This record gives sequence, structure tokens and C-alpha cells, in this order.
Amino acid sequence: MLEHDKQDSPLDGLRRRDHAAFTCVYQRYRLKIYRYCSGLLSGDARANDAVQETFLKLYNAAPSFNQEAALKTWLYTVARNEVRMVWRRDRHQVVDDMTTIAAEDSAASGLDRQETTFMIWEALGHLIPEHREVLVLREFEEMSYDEIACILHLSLTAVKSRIFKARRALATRLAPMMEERGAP
Amino acid sequence: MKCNECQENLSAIIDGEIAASLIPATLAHAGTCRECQQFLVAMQEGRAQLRAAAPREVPPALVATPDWRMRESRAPLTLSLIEKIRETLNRHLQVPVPLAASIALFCMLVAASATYWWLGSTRSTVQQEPTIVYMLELPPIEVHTTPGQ
Repeated sequence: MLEHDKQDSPLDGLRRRDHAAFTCVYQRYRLKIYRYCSGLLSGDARANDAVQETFLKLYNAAPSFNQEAALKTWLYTVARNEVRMVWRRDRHQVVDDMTTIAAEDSAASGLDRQETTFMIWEALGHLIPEHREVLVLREFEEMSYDEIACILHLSLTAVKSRIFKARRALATRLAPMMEERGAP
Repeated sequence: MKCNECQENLSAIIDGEIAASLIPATLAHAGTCRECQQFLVAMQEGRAQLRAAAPREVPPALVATPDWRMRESRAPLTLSLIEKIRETLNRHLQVPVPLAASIALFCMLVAASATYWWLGSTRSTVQQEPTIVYMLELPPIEVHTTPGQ
């Protein structure tokens, strides 16, 4: 089993700047990083740019990775920095762009789910970045508190507290929307 | 237990990220507190909806793999040199980069000081030569002045 894992690990390939290894890593992590970026940014084009820039930066930094966990943390950290750069660049577009993903999601789903998705994205877009960040990592990526603490450079207690506050803020945002829609 | 503390613990309980010792007190409070029960329901609903709203696939723009060769040609020479140095330090010497940078800076300072000292000593040697020549030329001057007296 160990031997199998060793053979499958793309880290050796990354250190050699093997393009096949980069492609393997890209295919393995692109959806995760996209979910993270789109959760924070929402705008499709901007999230795409952040994802692409993250993986292109990987090309330069790849030789320094020794463990897969370091690679994963690194990818999320760089993606986070890219998102912050976008936030600084155009702060006022966040909520408007939130609707993009919800609208695109409608293709494969019913109207009810589309509305719910729209509400969720809108509520998420109104949260402060710190709350949005922990919710995306916890609910979209299903990361443990340890992993979140590592990526955000927080203590476990701080992560626990921030997730609670984020959930409370989201529930507060969603409650009037649900009432308007007539949900129980 | 206060409601705020109970709700924070409930949030950790649904994530399975709480110390076992805190669970009984939290559940005991939640069992009797309507506000905390409502919070738990709202939180679980929000959580389920959020998970359902997560993107399940990448957009078409991200399906194609980036052209790594293009990145290779765009990588500046200085950057690749820094990476090579970092890689060597990490892989072979296991020296942290800040420590290595400090050692390198110290070596450069020593080298600069040594060069300055060496140039200074060479310059002083060169300056002594005209003095010797001047002293050698003095005796003829003395010979010319003697008959005038």
C-alpha cells in the first residue's frame, strides 16, 4: 500500500517540473480550488482567473514541496491571496456577481433549487470575508478544524468560534429570505 | 451554561469537533432551551443548503489543462535561480532560508571587508615609491647649492 502511494504521488514529478505531474495535480485540485475561490469571489471569470493564477504559481514553487499536505495547504493559501487581491481591486462587484453562479446552476436543476441556491449565494455574499472564508472551507471543502486553522493561521478555538459566528450570521441572513419565500 | 456557549458547542458538535466532556452539559442545556433548539435547526438547515449550493464541477474555462511550457518560458531567470538555491538548501542541507540568507550576508560582508583591507594595503605600498625616488634626487640639489655660498 505504501509502495503504491509512493508511486502515485506526483510530488517527485513536481520537483522535476514534469508537466504530466502538474497536470495530475491540476486535475486533482482544480475543483476544490475553484469551489473555494468561487465561494469567496462568486464571479465566475474572477474565480477562474484566481484558480489559473494559483496553479501557474505552483509551477515556480513546486520544487520546495516535501509532503502532499504542504501542497494542499499551499494551494489554498495562494488561492486565498489571489482572492484578496481581487477583493482589493474590485470590492463593489461581489454581491452582483454572486447571482452568476446561481443562474448557471439552474441548467441542471429545478426552479426551487435554483431559488434556494440563489438565496444561499446572496446570503453568503453579504457575510464579512472572515465568515465567508470559514464557511466555504468547512461546508464546501468539508475540511476539519485542524486544516482550516492551518490555512487561515488561526488557533482551533478561534476556528470553532468563527465558524459558529459565521453560521449564526448566515442563519440571520437566511431567515427573512425564507419567510419571504414562504418556507417553514 | 449560557446560550451563546451552548450554541457554539452545538456548532462544533454537528461538525464532530468537540471534546467529549462538553457534550452532556451542552445537550442538557439545549434540551430545555427553546432558543438554542431553534438555533440548532436553523444552523443545520443553512448547513445543508450551503452544501447543496456548492459547485459540483469546474466551468468550461478550467477544463483544459494550463500550458505549463508557456509558464516555463515566462519564468524569469532570477526567480529560477532563487528556486534552485532554495531547493538545494531544502533538499541537501536542510537549512532554513532566513538562516542561509544571514550566513550569505555575513560572508559577503567579510569578503567586502577583506577586499577593502587588501586594496588599502596595496595603495599604501604604491604611494611609498615616489617618496623613495624623491629622496634619491635630493643629493644633486644639495651639490648645486653649495658653490653659491
